[in-house]
Amino acid sequence: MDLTLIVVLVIVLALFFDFTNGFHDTANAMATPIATGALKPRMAVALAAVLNLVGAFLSTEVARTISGGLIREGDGGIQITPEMIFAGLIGAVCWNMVTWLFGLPSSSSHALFGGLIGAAVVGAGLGSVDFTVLVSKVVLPALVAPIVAGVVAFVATRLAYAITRDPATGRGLGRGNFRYAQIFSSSLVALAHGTNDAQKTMGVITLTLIATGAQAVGTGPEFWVIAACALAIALGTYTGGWRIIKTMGTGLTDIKPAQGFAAETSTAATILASSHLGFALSTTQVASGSVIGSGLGRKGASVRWRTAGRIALGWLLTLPAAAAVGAVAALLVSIGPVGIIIDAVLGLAVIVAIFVISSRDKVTSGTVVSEVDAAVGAVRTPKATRKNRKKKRQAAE
Amino acid sequence: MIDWAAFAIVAAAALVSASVVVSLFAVGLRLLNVGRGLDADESPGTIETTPSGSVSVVSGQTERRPRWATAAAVACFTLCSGAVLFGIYLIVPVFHAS
Repeated sequence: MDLTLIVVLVIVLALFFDFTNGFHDTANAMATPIATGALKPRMAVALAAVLNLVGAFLSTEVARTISGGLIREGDGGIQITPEMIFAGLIGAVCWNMVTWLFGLPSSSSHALFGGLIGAAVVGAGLGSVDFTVLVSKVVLPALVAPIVAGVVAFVATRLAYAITRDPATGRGLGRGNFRYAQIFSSSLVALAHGTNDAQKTMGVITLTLIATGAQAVGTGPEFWVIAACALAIALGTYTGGWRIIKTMGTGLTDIKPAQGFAAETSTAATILASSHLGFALSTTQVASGSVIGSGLGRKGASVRWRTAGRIALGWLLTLPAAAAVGAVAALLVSIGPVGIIIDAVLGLAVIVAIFVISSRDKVTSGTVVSEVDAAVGAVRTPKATRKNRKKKRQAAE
Repeated sequence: MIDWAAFAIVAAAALVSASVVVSLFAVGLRLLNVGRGLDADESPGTIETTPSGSVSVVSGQTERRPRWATAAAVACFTLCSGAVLFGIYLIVPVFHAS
């Protein structure tokens, strides 16, 4: 088997996408336990990284059907070329970097689908995309996932608070101890994430290897692919997307242990139920919905709808934006080898630029913790009204 | 093309399972506090006085917890860990591959 330049580029880019996927999604499992102090930030991301690493080795089922019928491939469909995958990955990586810069939890899978769709449309025309599958597999689940998770988390939070209320005084009994349960519920979410998300990158690399004839058609991912993807996602997870953790853990609502446990259990239950019954719901969207639901479920807690709105806008834009970047990248690729090099250089420039911009206001494990302290202080204020938040913000600055 | 029935099943299954697990753990915590006075709650350090007399949060333990309550609480927590194990079973395909 000979590895051409484009195959090497696809593999490198796919692994980098896997890395961004990891640090994008640490928040899904670990934002709430960090916010309530159930786990120390460094400890939390290390735990999530290990569970993602383990999870990646557990299953390769998802890897076999990465595009999930979105792009008509195979007999009678279009021939997916490594160049198209490369262009699609550029779109996915760029969008993941942008949403990370803004601290928005957005679905990495949608970014990947979007990028591939954009590249496929340019490379093989509009007919290459199955839009009914797009609606039923991507658009509708994206609408339903946060709502289902939100309702479940709302009910679970209400139950948790009702059961632990002291009938005599109306005060809480032992609610701080929900912290211990949080460790398990968030670990479950992290493990489920690992079995899903690393698979997509394995699928992309395997697809490329098959397309170039380096691997037999119909075979699963090779071991070095599995290992590389597992390591990339674990490394990304450990790096910790502190910006997104901050948004999910403290930006949407102030989370207390009972809420955190209710939210994580709801996330785990919704994801496990959906993936077991054949629906792939986005972990990110389920987790965000759960946090909002738990915020609505506790009396006296308020949900910052403006942040929620920004996140929702990010979700709406993810697929088309990644598709647009993927399409432009595919146009450049169609020029020839020069286009591929231009693509690679531009992609690298975007990544470096975003890292540079992000270093201006760094969000690290330390900043997240001090944010949590600020949030704990805010708990005693009667309500996080707009005025109080403004005061808090001014105090913080 | 869209299987709404499957959506409904997913929603119902998630609602029931999450509610049961969270309730079990909450009942367990509640049982651990049977016979105890006010707990430190989630906002530590607040010392409350009730109209009937002063009750301090820190030394709020007024009587011993009955043995049945401890046993029931342990049972609740055990069931919760069972739920976690079932979750792992669902996640790892090797366990339920046909």
